[in-house]
Amino acid sequence: MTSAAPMNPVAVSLDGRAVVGDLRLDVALTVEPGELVAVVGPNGAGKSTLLRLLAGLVALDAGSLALGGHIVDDGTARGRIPPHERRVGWVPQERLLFDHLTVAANVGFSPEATPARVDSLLDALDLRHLADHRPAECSGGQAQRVAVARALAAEPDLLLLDEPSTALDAESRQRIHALLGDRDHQPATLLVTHDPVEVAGLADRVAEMTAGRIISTPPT
Amino acid sequence: MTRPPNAPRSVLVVAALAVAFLTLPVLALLQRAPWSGLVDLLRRREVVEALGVSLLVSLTAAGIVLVLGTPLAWVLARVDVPFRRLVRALVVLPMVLPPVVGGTALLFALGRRGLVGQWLERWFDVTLPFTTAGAVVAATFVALPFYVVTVEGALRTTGDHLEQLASTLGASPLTVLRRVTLPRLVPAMGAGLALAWARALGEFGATITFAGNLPGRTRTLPLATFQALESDPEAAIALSLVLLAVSLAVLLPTRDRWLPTR
Amino acid sequence: MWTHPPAGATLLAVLAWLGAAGCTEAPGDAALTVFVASSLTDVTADLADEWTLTSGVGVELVAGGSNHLAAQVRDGAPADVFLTADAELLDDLQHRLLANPVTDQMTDRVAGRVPTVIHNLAINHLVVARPTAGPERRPADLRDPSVVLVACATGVPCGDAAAARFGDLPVDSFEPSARAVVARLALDEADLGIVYATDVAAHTGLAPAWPQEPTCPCVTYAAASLSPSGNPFVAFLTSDRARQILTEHGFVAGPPR
Repeated sequence: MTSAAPMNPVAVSLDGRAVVGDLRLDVALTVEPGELVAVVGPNGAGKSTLLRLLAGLVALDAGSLALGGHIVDDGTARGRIPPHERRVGWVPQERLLFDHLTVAANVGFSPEATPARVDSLLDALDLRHLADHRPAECSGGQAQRVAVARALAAEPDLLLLDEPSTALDAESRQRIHALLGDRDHQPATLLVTHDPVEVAGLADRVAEMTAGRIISTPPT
Repeated sequence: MTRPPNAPRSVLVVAALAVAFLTLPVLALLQRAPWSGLVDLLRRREVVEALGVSLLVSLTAAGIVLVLGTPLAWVLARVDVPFRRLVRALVVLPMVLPPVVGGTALLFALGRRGLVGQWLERWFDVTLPFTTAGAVVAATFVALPFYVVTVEGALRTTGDHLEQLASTLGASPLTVLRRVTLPRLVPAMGAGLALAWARALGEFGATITFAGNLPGRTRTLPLATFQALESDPEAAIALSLVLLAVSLAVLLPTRDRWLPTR
Repeated sequence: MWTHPPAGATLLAVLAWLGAAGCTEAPGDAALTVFVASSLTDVTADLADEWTLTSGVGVELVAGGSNHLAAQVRDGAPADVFLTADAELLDDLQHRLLANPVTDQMTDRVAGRVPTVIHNLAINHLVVARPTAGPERRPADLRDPSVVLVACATGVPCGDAAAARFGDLPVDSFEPSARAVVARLALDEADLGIVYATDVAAHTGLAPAWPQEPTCPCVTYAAASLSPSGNPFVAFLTSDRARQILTEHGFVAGPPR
């Protein structure tokens, strides 16, 4: 796909001069493949912005962002690697499934997704029976699984999840946790959440974020 | 008919008046129609000829509108172009310009002695006035804004969140356009195209000023109707009915919503 | 503070003004409405100015295609005078008006006056013209399909006359009026155009395509008054002064009455 080398482990580094809008970001974080780091903090701390920045959907106004040692955004249009060239998966809170495609087509959307991988994900997440249905026909929990499966099918080096379990019923939440808890073949993952149960159950480490700064990353 | 629980009677009455105002001329036309001799009138050479020219010109114009208008609508909705407001105003200008003014401006631009037209003639031996191609140009000029406005509106309304997500999955911008934007845009494109085509079909002022009036080549249904009014009012009514029928045939299936939400 | 003129005269003036305002429109006070075919617009404007000077009556000109104006008159538009190149139109109008007279007409018929119609008011010859900036032409060019030729549409007086005179021609566009043909030539968007002699006289951008003698079939103008107030104006149109103005514009004035 691109010339960027696989980021493994993924070192996320935003120098102290990184600015997006009126948010100043100061993040230095390394996530191992298979490791899940929960990102917690008050609303407005910049957690979602951080995820969007890492995904490439938001640009830095100043400063630089490095992923895996490579600078992917230096504050200029030219020095910025676009989202489709970063191997970063992003599952937003709104999920944003393609409602004009079937579930199977959604999961297999990425040019990187192989049919084999799509099949195994559909099975692992109990979505086989929905493969030819539209996202509109899925429940909240099912849709969430589709969104995660879709991101995983692209084999990202870094997976970003933005509050995936909020507004899900208990059973769906359990299923998501089961998926994310399976550490084999999982990419390095950042999980933004408000749910302490999630943090306790899934996270290997916790990163507390306040006003754009990650202030601590103790293991759980 | 279900009435929403709080539909004020006065609002319904005014709406009914508006409908009456809009449909009255059409009803008057139908009432005056020479129904008994209509079939013969419709088979007359000048009617068939004008219909043929109209269909050829309007459909070709619609095709050009689709090809030119879709990228333009996309750029206006998604790209941060400098002077975007000015560009958008210019794009919409043919909608508000009196068609004859538009036709005259086209003449100054693309006529034999026109700004660009003179080079077309000198280098490529291409003249547009008095040709069917010229009629297509005039029709495209007036119809394009209708399509662009419809499609751009749809793009702005739906936003680009899905496109953003698609790019995080590794799809290049062109792939995103092809697999996410365009498939979802099809309903709005259809609605915009129907509107643009109807406008192209009804175009008169720009056509007669730029392309001229010649049976079989540039005399579209509106031009033929205008001419028939002078000498043969019955033929004029017949031609009007043809225009009406063709327009309704296309607009009826596509006008359930102004802007499809999907 | 009363200054002279004496109070009596002032009172008289006020009474006269009140009297005039109190009356309904007397003929000759209000402006005349004159419907005129578009090719006559310029000359009629001059004629109207002259008329206003001598009679004190204002004139309001409404120009347009003869057929459209006739349709408006049939539908009841308040025209006092109608100048057109289509004599048939006038005859038709006259018959209709006499059959369904407006109230004024009734009064006039009773009084012994009927609307005046003047055929042969003026003649306008057709000229095959070219853009002055264009190349010289020869009569054979008229039938040459590669030459861009524009003419008036049939149904319009200049178009009918052209068809009568030249027969079938390889026309590239049938324009709705002589003015439109003139516009094409003036912009050098056409090589040849069939226009009126008056158009060639009035526009420096047009020139005769080759030396041409004025011949007919040509266009003959007629005038009709459609209401009693129009009669004096129509009578004026055949006066010497009016004929002089017509000639100055390039028309061939009809016989004096």
